[in-house]
Amino acid sequence: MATRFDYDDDSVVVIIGSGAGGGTLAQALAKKGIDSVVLEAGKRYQMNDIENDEWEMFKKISWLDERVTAGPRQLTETFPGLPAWIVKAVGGSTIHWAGVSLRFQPHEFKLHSEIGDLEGANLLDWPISYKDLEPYYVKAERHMGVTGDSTGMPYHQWNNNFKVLAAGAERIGYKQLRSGPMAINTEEYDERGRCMQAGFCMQGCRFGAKWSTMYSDIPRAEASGHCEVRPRSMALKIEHDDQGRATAVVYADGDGNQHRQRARAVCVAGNSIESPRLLLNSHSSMFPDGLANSSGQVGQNYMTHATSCIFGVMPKPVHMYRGTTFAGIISDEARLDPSRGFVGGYTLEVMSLGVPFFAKFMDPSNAGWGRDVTTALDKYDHLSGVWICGEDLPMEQNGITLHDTRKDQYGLPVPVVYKGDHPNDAKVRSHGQQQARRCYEAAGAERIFKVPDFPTSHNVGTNRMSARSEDGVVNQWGQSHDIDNLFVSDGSQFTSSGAENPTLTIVALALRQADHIAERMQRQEL
Amino acid sequence: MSHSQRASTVTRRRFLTLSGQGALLVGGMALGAGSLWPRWALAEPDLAAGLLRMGRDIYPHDAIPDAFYLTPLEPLLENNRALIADGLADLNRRARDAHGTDYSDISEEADRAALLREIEDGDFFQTVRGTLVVGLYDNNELWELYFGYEGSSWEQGGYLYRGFDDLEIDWL
Repeated sequence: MATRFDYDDDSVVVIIGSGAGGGTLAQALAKKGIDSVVLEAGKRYQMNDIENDEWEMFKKISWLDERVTAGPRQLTETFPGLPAWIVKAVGGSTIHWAGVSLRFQPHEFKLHSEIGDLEGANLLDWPISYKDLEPYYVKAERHMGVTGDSTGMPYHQWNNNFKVLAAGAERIGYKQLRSGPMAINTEEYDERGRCMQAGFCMQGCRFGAKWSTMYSDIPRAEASGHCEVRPRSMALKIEHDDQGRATAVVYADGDGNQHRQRARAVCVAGNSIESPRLLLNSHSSMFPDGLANSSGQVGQNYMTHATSCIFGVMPKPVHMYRGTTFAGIISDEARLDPSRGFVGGYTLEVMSLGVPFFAKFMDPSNAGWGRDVTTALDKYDHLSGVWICGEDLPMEQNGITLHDTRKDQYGLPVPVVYKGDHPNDAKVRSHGQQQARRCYEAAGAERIFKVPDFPTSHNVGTNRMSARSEDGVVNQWGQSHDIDNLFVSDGSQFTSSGAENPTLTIVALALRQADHIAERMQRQEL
Repeated sequence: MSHSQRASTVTRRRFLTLSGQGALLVGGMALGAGSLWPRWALAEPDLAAGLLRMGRDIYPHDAIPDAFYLTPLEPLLENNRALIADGLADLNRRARDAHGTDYSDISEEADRAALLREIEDGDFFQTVRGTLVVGLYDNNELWELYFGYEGSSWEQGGYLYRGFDDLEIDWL
């Protein structure tokens, strides 16, 4: 019988969201015997709901509630209602993620100190260093099953797509070519099987070889008796008492009925759009600008990575879709080296799309049709692709705000997701495009073209960490500066975006936060 | 009966005039294939022919038979008829102004494409295109034959033993 906690049980930690942050935190707390209720807006899916079908899975698991894309960027025109490509389901975006598990580099925690002020950028050092997080990176890698030293699992065999990119990359002098670290098993690990190179990583791993809280953390937390997951439960408002401490979360269940779950502490992990949105929507007479927002930074500093894709048509069939979707990493450009004309770096990650998504995303602009498009599709099996994951600088005006008039199905103001490039972001992207082209030219490509931004899967920074309360929303533990028992547990804590995929760092931070919460509870401070 | 016979005749003649498609259509579905026609295509052959021509100009793959363009476009004419009918009428007006003939009867693909470029920012064009980009490319009957894409793989154990790393780069 699954554990049930009473609505009035104020001894539980209420966690909002069940993805990389929330799902990890729930299981880490459960292992320490700390009770939690996880409110997950999406449904619960089973392994046999996972299909190798791009559009079916998109329709099934994506967060498709109303949102507004805004800002001077192509997505505003091409995907006006879908700024982000993230998941609404138990397991969150760990169903959809690629598995690439790179640690941030030491300098990326202190970019501001390294380079000083940069006009237009709201740069800030993290309040933690690489050294602080390093032990948790190791724990996270073991927890998730990341190929490499922490687990002893070998990296994957190079798939065809990576072989092609690597052949070009080596010819232009790149040295740091790896098919990992990936949180995708190359052998049985943690009661999950090995990767079958099926492709479709972004549609959910049918074999469970890729780490996801959907089938690892969440079922274990529930089995412990210390965690209750409530699917189809959309958090509407965090309530507080006269002392300004969080007391409860009001949420709507799948039938639209509202409930109030009391809480000892509240941990917000709804991804970088919903988390600040919830804090803003929880405004009260004591906190008229929203909870945890004395700095005014809630919702600001939204970062997405400076990205683009480059595809090459190769002389022979590549079958890029065979094997893991993001199968290889090139890190030569990830360094900090202002001599290139920009600060921050980028990672090149080989990637593939199936025919349905390639056709949709190759050129989603109004003019993206005709022979230019179809001659590429006619050579679909000859394609190889690479994605640029570049440092995106924080800017105050990039962020999440609440729409003045439009409301969603819960009666909550719709989030407006505003994002424009800092000039540095544009330089990172353009350098990445140029280098990726050089790789494919060196690999003998017959034709090379770029593919613009997809709706964003890497969303970070909207409740950022800061040493001082006036600079950000949470401290080094993810605890809000303003409200003692209110935490942020997802990528919205990020002070900078780095040149790496965010999931590993989100998990490391969640494991670290769980230790902190347990210690403070032991000291009767929480 | 007489209605559908007449419709088939008109449709057949119309389709046979489509540039470069005559042989394909004869072999494919235009002749003696009345039962394969969607109901709306029989009822409104001019609209059907216009939509088909437009679909083939937006995403031209010469080897893919007409049926794979027509089938996904069918719901548009049923559910969004005014937009389609008005849009095609406008397109035909532009075609007659520029070339003295209806859009579908312009022989050069480049000329037809130039007309479509003029209207590519409008609802009509983007509705047809948005429908087709899913309806055409999300059809697993086309994947392997025309694109070399194998689709769902988990049922066969993925590609671990089926060539995920079989490429020999021998062209460099």
